[in-house]
Amino acid sequence: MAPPSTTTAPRSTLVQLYDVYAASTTPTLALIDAYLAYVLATGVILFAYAILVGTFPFNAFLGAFLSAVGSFVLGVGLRMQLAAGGVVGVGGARARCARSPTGSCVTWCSTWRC
Amino acid sequence: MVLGLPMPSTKQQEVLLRSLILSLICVVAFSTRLFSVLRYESIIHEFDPWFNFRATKVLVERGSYEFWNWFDGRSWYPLGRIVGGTVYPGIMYTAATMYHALHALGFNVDIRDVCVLTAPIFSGLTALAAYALTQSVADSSAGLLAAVFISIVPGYISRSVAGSYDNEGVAITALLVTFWLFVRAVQTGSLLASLLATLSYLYMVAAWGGYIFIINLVPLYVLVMLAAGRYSRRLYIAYNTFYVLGTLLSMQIRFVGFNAVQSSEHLGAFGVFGLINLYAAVGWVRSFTSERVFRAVGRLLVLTALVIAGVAAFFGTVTGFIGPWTGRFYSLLDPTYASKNIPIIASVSEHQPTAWGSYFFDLHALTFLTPVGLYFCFRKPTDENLFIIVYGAFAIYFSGVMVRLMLVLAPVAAILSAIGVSATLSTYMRVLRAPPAEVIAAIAACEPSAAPAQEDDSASAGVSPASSTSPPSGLRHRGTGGGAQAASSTSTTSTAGVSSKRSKAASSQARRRRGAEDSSSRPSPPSLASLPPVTHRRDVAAIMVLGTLLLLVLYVRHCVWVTSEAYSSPSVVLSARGRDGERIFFDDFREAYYWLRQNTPEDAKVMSWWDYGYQLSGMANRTTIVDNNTWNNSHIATVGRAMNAPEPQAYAIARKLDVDYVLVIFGGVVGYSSDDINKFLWMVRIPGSVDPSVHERNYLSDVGSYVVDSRAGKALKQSLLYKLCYYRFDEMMTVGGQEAGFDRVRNTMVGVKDIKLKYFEEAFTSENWIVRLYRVKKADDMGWM
Repeated sequence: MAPPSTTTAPRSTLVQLYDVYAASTTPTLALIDAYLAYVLATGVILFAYAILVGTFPFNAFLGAFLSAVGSFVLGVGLRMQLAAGGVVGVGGARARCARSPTGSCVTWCSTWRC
Repeated sequence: MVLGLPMPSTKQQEVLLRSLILSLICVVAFSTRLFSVLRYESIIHEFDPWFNFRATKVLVERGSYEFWNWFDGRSWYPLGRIVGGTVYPGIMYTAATMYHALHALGFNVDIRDVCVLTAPIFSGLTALAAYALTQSVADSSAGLLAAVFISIVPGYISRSVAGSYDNEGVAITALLVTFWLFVRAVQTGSLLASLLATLSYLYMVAAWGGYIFIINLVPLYVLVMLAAGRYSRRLYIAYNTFYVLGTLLSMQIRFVGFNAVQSSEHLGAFGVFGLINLYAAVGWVRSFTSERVFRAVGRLLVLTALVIAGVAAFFGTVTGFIGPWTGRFYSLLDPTYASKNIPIIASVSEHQPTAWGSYFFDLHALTFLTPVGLYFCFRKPTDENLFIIVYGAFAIYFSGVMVRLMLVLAPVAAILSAIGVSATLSTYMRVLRAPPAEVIAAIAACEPSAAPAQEDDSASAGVSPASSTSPPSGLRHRGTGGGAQAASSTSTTSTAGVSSKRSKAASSQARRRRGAEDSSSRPSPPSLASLPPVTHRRDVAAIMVLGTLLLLVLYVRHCVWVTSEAYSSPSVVLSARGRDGERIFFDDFREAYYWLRQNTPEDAKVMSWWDYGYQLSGMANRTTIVDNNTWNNSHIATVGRAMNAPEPQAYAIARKLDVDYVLVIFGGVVGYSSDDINKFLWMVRIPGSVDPSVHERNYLSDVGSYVVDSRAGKALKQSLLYKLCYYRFDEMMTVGGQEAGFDRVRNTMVGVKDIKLKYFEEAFTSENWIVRLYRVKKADDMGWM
């Protein structure tokens, strides 16, 4: 990679950013990041649809969007815990116990309203 | 060994003691709220609780589905009220659950008794929640004090006596539990704690409209944490889980519905949600890039995010998608807003600003102990302390805006005062528990290393007799017995002020020498270094401890007195003391409501001012035109217009509303001052805000005062309410020395005598003339009245 200039052309900066990112994440974290990117994309698509086509029925939009946001947030929480050095086993059992009711809460509440 | 059982360890003793104390606190909290039940009977009080009671009966008798979809056609006639969608169902479900649980166990209690005692039961739980919260923030001794304070504080008792079956009775419990669980979540970063906090928040949303306070306070706290540089993974997890799940769950309550994402009151939470995610994202990007790259990208990222947020907020507000702040909550930000624009909010007595007297009356010692607690919180700021500080600050502000919000201040005042008192007591008790001067001298004498230490800082007050230059003088002091303590401590008075630093230096030096010393010569009494530094004189400490105890005793006395005298009145039954001190009861309200219940047709419609709507529906079981829900301002304005208009106009309005009976409250005979004549100006102002033909000026006297005697305003003398209240009043002897027709509340002779009614006829007047019922005359088949 050619050395980047200090006056940053945004494109080369972003590419460099991606390189640094790829180098510093473990496979597990990268997997979680891929999942988070997918959920984020889903949320963006949902929101764009709501703006362009309309929010009727509002229940359905809210349910889908908030469950996307919720999944994203919980995923970020998991990633934070793993990145901080927690092995999935350490406190993972308790964390998993907490995550499944939390996740089911999100899913249940968002779908019940539909 | 006692009875062959091993002696419990200190830890176990502590746990036992603490559990005992907490159980006693629950019992006290329950008992202190029972005054009115013991004096009168088990009855629902006031106004709002009657509606909650009626709704609970529907829930218990007809089931949850019927309740959730209940349309009440017998209130707000002819509009009706969608109760299922406009009620906070928490307290009804709570009472119904307890009712069913007791029935399942075989106790066939009446639903009324369950409702009456719901609030006292939950007050015990509130005390436990306060203990838990304070224990997370400070320590368990502060927790115990907080539990005691909150169990008897009058500001909370006023809304949770037995019989006051109102939302706040369970909502304050939910509030404290939510706060406790959220603080635990921030402390531990546990997802489980966040989940539990959210479930508790759901209960709070179900219970009370004051949940807005939580959904704004928690984001404010997060904002303060971010500003204070205390961002952490735990905070992120706690808040995000709370916000996303909380929003989802709060939308399950029909009354909240889409408000959770559409109203301005929830916008703050959303904004902080975005902000903390942005903060986390920026921090994450920064963690794996170099500074240069980060600066280029980071600014771009933040700027894009803020621009998107700003545009969205702008469009949302402009298109009306995001509703503006509702009047009730806007008046919290601008206290003068309601009195200028929304008279119906301004008219509620609970919405008036708080006077200083109320602070002392409702909080007593906590008023000035709260700043003490704030000080101690600031001394050692932690994540949890910061929460209590933020909660305290905002509660203090809001309690100043509205009397009703004293209720929100009471818990945090109790918690902060407990922290303050506990810290004070520990400081001084430590002094008192330190061994007396003679013992210290003896220890000093036993320890050779103490001698060089004391030569280094001879003025040190930390180890007091060591400051006297030689052990023999310490022993001499010991010899003089009782005066010894005073004598040895006088030598330290001058240095007491700067004692702490020096004492720490002395003890640390002694500790170092101790460490170097051979421990084999250490005697069994504690070494000098192991004693905590004595920072105050013993007599000062004793005075402080005794003073604090005295303060607590006075607090308890005040709280019990206030509860007994001021907050235990059912409002449905009035009482006064006769000339020889006996209690006289005025049961006029129930007399009139039961007359209505037994002597009028089932579908009779009763028109009265909105204050009495719930009681009418609950006790008289008749259809009402307006009630305390006050959801429709124009309907109330119509009723107000009927009350303040001359008789023919009022009759036209009454016929239009299909009214059969009119009910007025009149206190002139017994001196009951919350009657309709005193509320009359609101019956002028509220219609005045809707109907421009009503001018308040016409109802006042020539000089602009509100009087009811012969100087009364012309419109007042002609109004329906005046006529209905004073009809036949000129035949009534009220006070011995005066002529007939002397109004004991306004302290004047009534202005108009010999009132004639054309379209109304008197149906019933209660024993003390407090409630008066009039029948609306209807034309018969021939058109004659």
